[in-house]
Amino acid sequence: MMSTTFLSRFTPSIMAPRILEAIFVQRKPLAERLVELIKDSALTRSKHHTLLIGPRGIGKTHLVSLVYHRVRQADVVKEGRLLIAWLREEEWGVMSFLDLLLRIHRALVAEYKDQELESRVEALFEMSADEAERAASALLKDYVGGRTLLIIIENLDDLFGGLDDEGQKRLRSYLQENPFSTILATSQSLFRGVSLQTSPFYGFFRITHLEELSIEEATQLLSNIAELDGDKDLAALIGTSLGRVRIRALHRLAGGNPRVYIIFSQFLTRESLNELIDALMRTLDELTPYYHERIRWLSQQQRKIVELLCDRGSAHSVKEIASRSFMSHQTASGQLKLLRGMGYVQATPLGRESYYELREPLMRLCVEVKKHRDRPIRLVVELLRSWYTTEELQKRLSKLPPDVGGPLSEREHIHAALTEYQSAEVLVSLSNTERINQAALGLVRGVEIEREVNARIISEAVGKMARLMARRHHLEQSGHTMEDLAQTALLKFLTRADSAPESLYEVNDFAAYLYRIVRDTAIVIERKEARRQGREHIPELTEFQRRIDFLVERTPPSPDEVLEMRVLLLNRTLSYLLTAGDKDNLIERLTELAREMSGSGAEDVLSESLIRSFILLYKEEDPDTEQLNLEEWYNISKEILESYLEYELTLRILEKIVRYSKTKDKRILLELPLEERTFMEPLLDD
Amino acid sequence: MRTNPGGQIDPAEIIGRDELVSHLWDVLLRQSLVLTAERRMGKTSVVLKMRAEATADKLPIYRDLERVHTPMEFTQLVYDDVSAYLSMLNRTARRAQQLVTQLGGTEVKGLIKLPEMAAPHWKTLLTKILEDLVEHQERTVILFWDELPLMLYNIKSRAGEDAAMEVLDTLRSVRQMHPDIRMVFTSSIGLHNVLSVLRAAGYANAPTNDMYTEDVPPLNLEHAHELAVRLLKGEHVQTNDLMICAERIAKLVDGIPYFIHHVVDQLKQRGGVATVETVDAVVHSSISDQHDRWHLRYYRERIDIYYSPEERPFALNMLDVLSLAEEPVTFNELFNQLKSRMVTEDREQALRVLSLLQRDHYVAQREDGKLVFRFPLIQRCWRIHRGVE
Repeated sequence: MMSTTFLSRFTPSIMAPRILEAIFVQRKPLAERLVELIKDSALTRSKHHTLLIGPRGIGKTHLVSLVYHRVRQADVVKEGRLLIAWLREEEWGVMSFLDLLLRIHRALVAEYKDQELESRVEALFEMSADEAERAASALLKDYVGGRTLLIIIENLDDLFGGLDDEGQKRLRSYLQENPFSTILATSQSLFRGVSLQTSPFYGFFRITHLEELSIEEATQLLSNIAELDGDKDLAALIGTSLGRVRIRALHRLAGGNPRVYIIFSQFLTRESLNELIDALMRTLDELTPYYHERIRWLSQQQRKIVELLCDRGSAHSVKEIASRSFMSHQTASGQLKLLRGMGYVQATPLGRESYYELREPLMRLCVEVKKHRDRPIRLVVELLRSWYTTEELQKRLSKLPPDVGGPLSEREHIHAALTEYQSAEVLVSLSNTERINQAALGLVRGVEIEREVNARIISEAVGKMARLMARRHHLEQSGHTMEDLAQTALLKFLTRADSAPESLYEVNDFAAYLYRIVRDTAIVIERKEARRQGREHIPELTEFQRRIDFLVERTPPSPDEVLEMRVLLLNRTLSYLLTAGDKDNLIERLTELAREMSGSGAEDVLSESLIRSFILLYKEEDPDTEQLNLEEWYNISKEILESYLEYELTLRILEKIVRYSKTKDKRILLELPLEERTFMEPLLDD
Repeated sequence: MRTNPGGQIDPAEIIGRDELVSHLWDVLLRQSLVLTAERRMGKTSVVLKMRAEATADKLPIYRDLERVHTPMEFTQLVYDDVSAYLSMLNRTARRAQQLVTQLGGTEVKGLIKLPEMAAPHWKTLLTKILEDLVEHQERTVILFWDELPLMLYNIKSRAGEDAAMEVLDTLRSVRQMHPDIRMVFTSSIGLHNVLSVLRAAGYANAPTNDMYTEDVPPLNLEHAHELAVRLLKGEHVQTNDLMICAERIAKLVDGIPYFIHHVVDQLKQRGGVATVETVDAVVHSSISDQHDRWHLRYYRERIDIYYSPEERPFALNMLDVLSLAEEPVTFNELFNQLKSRMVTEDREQALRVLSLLQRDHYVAQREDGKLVFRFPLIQRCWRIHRGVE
């Protein structure tokens, strides 16, 4: 469904206050704080000046628009203590202090529809520039009277660029001599006008850097948009594992930039590939001139560095950048500092070195589109694979008219995504799970006619799995017991599912769910065995027991709970096997998991569990026990997962953890592109 | 009371400056004043407080001169201020107006226009304006001229060193001829910085030796503590122990009010309950903050801007040595260590630069003559920014 509410992607300042409030996330305390500071400026002789810094699309205009609307409703405005002049994004052509004064007057005229002020401002144009500046200064002071003036300035960096040193000095002097203004300004990055210690506004502003959205905040944003639009499809999708996968994919693309989520929010639920690709390409098209313009402003040396970082994707030391661009270390370092000041790159200091990378993932994407016209864009291909199953892609491809071609066409992107799938598919056998799924759905839906057949299929599957499991856990003696227990648990569960909404278990999930019941039953039995033999069982098993009780005795869990349990159980199982050094079992388990998960849309569950298991080993590696070491575990994982392209990123991350564990050299982590690092770092920080 | 790092503070909320302000008024009874201060000490707040609390027999007129680029612009500003004052008394700046007419200039809506050939007469005009003021002043008019050194830099760049020197000399001669006039020069950079540039161009005068120089120190610990308490309360920052947290803040930032505002601002943003540990964490992360929100790189970068290429290695190396010194050192010890870092036997140059470093508030000399980094906070930053830890 199309959005019913007007969400302007590029001009939040024209959105209704209700909408701005409804989709506002993460920065609620900051917005409250800004309103407080403005009120304090209006009510006392203190005057606060705040500068918000963040790249394009981070939500600066959204935030100031929201603050503007809130302040307008506040008592300080109603009681006439505060005036507002809002200099919006498009205030081009301010070349002098006089120009700035005129813009402020114009903003006041627009805000208060004051005709008298308008005619007094008109009269200024009759004067010489010197006279007009004096008169405009005096007029502003006179108009504000004893009140406070809130000046909202968007893109302060541009404005200061136009004002130049002299204009900035005049402004600063005016503010010092006439302390009736409080300023709320925004800028894309720190700029010389505030960061250079000889500039007039050095240290003048309270500077706040706006943070990118975390994946949770992005999910919240999307939920808010769904609610605002009454988009039930989107709201429902967000809670599902498919929704999570898509949001994760989007998060990698967006790098926490709210505007990108807003652009793509309406496409999350789409099954039509066309619209998604269109939206992505249109966004890139819209942004390309902007990024090209930004690159055009740079010196040749700076362009060279930016292009290098676009190509390489990850953070690099000054030394590497210098040698790759044939520059001296000093030149590269100087240029990088300038680029950082202008907001193109960001630096991570490590010891005495700094590692630089591009600040905006979209910039890299735009450059990639233009530079590699002859091949599909890697990120789009990745996005497609996260978004659609093989079948969906095949279906889509068959519907495309044959004459649509070219390296950047939809066809080529689908082809690329499918090719990546195919090699994975050879290893995956889905027939068995598919059959189980159908049978389970039949049972859950209560289709009487095939009840017996379905029950038999399930029962056989459970039996097979139980036997397999018994063998794996060396519990052959208890094979029957295990099968019985698993069957009982399963039937108990199925019969309790009095209403069986289809969404309860997506087709792909059910076989996995069955499998888990059996496996968990095996663990329960292992515990009993342990007790019987007088050996200690693994403490984690208590948790498994609790989970199984929970499964058996209550109504079916929600998809969210299923997912959560899945992650938990996977984590525990892997860590248990790893600690026990049970190599054969690990290989078998991982092979099956990879097969089971492939194409299910929940590959990230396995990825996350794997990464966690690595971090666990990394943190607790103990040569005195039988547990596997990181490298062995990596080799096993690599061998099994290498053929599944959806784990490419995961393996890349794992490899870094292994190398990092040996050298503790943080540069290794910096080899990962920013978006991949943001995926891993929260786990490392746990 | 809310935090306001860098912004304009309500004079009623300026804490711990009563004694200093009262001392400055005493000074102004006798002579004019150069008010120096390290950045962030709250010099502007002191001036603001003086402006706000001036008694009925005094009239402070404040001007920020940073925007002024020519002597004539400066003259115009002084003319504006004097005319505004005289018109309150129903008088006019007669002498100045006559001179403008004699020179073939005009005055339209207060804006003086001199013909190009008469432009060099700004000196006479400035003198006449100030004489008009002296003749009519019923209360003591105090001309607060903020950022005067920056104006001199601007004038030097636009009109040459000579013009900047003439401004200083003219003001000095007016003060000598009219002992009743009161000027207060303040700035975020030291007057000595601009004077050393002018001296290099042959300037030999001491243009402020008739003025009293006073330094704005950081708040003493008691007042810094009080400021921290009031900010913590005003911002509703929860603490496990208000007094101990405030004490910690005051101590860690050496009583510098700007940083006290910053620390409380960041504690507010963090949320939760503030403790001594969170205060430590805020200060530590701010010192090594890659965005440099506290503008601490200033102390390193200033050396490149205001010190000559010959002075720079001396300044950097001496500060490196002092930043690492665990105990105060004598000059001889300092010079010895300096020689292990650079090839020099130029003791005189080292002494000269040391004196600049003292005037720029990097270094303090204790009563026993030994030298230390003046502010422990800046000392920590120096070590980090210079990688000498």
